[in-house]
Amino acid sequence: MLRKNKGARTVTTNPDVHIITGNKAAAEAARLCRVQVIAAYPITPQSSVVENLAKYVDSGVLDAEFIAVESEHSAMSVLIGASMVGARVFTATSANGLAYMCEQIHWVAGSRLPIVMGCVNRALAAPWNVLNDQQDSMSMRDAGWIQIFCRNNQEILDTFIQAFKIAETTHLPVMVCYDGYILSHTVMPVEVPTQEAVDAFLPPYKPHTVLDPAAPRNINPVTLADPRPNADGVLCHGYMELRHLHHAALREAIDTIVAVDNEFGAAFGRSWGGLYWDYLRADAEVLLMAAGSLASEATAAVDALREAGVKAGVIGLRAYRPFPDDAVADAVAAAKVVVVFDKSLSYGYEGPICADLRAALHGRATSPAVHGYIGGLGGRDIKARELVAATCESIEWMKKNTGRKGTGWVNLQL
Amino acid sequence: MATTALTLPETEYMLPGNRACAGCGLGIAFRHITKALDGKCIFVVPASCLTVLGGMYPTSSVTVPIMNCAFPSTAASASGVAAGLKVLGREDTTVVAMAGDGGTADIGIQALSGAAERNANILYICYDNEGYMNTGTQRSGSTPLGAKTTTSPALGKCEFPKDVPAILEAHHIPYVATASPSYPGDLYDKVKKAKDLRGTRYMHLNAPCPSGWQFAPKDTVELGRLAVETGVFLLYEIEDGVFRLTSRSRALAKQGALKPVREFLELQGRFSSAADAAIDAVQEWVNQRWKRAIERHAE
Amino acid sequence: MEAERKKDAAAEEARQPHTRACEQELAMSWPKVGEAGETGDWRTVRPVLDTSKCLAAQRGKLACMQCWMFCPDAVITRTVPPGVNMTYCKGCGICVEVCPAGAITLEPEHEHEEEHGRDAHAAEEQGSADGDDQP
Ligand SMILES: Cc1ncc(C[n+]2csc(CCOP(=O)(O)OP(=O)(O)O)c2C)c(N)n1
Ligand code: SF4
Ligand code: SF4
Ligand code: SF4
Repeated sequence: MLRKNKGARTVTTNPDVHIITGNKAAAEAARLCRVQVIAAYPITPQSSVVENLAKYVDSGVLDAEFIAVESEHSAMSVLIGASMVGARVFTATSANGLAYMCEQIHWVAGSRLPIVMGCVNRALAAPWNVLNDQQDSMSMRDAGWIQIFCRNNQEILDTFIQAFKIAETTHLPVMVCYDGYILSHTVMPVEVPTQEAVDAFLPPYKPHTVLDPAAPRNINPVTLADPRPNADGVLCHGYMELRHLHHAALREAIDTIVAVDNEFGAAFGRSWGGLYWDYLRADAEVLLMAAGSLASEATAAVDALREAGVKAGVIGLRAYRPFPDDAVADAVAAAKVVVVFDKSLSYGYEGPICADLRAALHGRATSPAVHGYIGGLGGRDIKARELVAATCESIEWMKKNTGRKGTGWVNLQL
Repeated sequence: MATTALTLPETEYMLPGNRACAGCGLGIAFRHITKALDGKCIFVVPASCLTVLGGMYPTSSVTVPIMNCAFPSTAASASGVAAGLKVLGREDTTVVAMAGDGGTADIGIQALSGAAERNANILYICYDNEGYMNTGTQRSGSTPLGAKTTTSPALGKCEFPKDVPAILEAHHIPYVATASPSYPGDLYDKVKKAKDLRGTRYMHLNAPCPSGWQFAPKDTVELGRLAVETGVFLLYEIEDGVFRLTSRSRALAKQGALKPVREFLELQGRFSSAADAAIDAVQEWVNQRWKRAIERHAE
Repeated sequence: MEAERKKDAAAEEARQPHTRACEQELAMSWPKVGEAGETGDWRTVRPVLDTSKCLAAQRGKLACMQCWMFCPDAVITRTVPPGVNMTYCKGCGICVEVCPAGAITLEPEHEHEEEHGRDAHAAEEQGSADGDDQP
């Protein structure tokens, strides 16, 4: 996998490089960020994240409260309570665990709590399937969280550290998404920064809201449709104003994500592209676009396409929410076609990344065609050669047709 | 010495002019709970009448901090607050989870059981108005047999209520107690005792509700007394496994007899069409529980 | 909720100008007496104290105080004699029932009004926690 890590610089001679799984990288990041309360419930393929953290807490490596709750709903509830009084908190989950948390995912966002959670992407039941796709985090797209996808284990570790900074700057929760098994259970060399370096990058959490008997506030009470005056006659934002501010914060987070990634680059010598990363984009006529490890795989497909004389490149999406519409639209503007590979599906329409890209391009003077493919659901393998085949199919279609091409399915065996 | 009207603290933490119905038993209970906590507390409150009593944004009718939480999450949210306070060195603040019977016996029981099993450092208080009152008097797991609700509209509920304090006792937590706003001194003393213990403490309050039980608001205190005097609701505490009847229930166990449950039921519109068989069944249920309570009672 | 909105709009007008300095990014409330308005408006009957019967008043010192202890709205003072804040008393009548001396009686609000005039506003829609528009 490391071979495909083409957006980033890797150091292999450093003694701080460990050969670890994505889940271990996530746990290491949480330790380095000095999280104070962890609450989690096991689910494949997330389990070893929290098993590792439980070990750190038990052995005293990490000074935190580890709460082994009885469900994911409670895991997030515990984090809400702890974050509300000012603790830095962490959890991780997958698939049905995320779905079971759903009510609280929304509650966190509406409370503007800077909670950071790992989503180890896995297919949602029914039927049961413990393997990778991205339907779980995609189904939480509209909850008001920042969602960032990672392409390799180093990026997982680095992104979690960035995530706390982004969350605590924007007062928005961040979901760090990475592919189950493909990253969570695959070992790769990962440079683990020193505690001092992380401390210098990430100052202690300063909560924006503290529940304190000395200042008795009632947080998240019933709101009515319109703004209402408080006891001092100040007309306070209504539900809709608060939602608007929440949305505005997400839009502003587009800049924060870039800024924090740059700052991280200056501090640690690695940055990850901010909103998206690219590979051989400059002269590309055909761009392959995906999120997570599939985008890494796409770099191998591009190498093969280039060998066959196709001017191909990759756009790897990091930030999915907020959707970096302008940045991505600019990045693909010069291409003839963008072939988008989604590992999830908005049932009855098309892949969510594909749909969002189309919308981002709409109304621009010149914009490439967008072709969507669904692939990799429930762990179905997608190799570079299948990405090549789908891309060639798109190119052939363009020669014969105009207008909108329907969604294709990669390696569907009907 | 039990606390009385003359020795209860003066300070109020619930302000006049709140949104609870006239004659609400929860209001009386909330006053004395907060007095016992001396205001040094953080409340965690799910959707319920207490949310409504707490007030509409951006004004609050209580002078203690409240964190509203999702309906099923009360005990978990509260254990998170407790964990947060612990890591921040603020353990002098009591974390009080306070929910209705729906939020406790039904949708919140998983989180409550989890928190109790972990012995989370919270005081959990269920005020039992025996139904989902703030959504319009639907049946809950704690609604008594024979009571009409909007989701048991014709015959009344056909099942007995869950014994939630017994469920909590089975979690071997340090303190389980029942109380009633009709006996404020007993309520106050129990909250005060619970406040100074560590781990999960559970209190179950009988909370007469004029609008849901359909009785005149002036009778709230009388209804609470009758619940105890008929044995429909028992006042007791279980400290480290030792069961003790308290206050009026203790006095009744020592001398005197319970009043017939009919005296309690007939004051309430929700039992107006309860069949004699249902009332007999409730009486038998009460007799059995009373017998067991007297057997278990340790002086 | 329409009534609520109208009330708010009226309250807003009365208080003009509002500052628009709200800095909240999540919903937070602060304590306010009369959070639900002047709940005395809900009353159809009012408690009237006969000091000649009140045990505390008779003894001239703090005694009894059952009315204070059981008032669900904390509108009775623990004083000799006890006082009732009529702006917020909801007229539930609990104090009447718990008084061991029969010192408090309920008078229909309209009769009282005829005699003394009404101190608060005309009774509006009775607010209550029991309804469809709750969380
Ligand atoms: C997940 C969820 N389901 C349903 C509701 C709607 N709801 C709000 S309060 C309530 C009933 C509350 O009953 P209880 O806990 O007994 O408190 P009470 O209203 O009687 O004080 C219901 C069903 C909700 N808020 N959340
Ligand atoms: S419905 Fe019952 S419990 Fe709820 S506020 Fe009214 S009287 Fe109190
Ligand atoms: S008990 Fe009821 S009637 Fe008496 S003062 Fe209080 S609110 Fe008014
Ligand atoms: S309850 Fe009656 S006797 Fe006792 S203090 Fe109040 S008014 Fe006086």
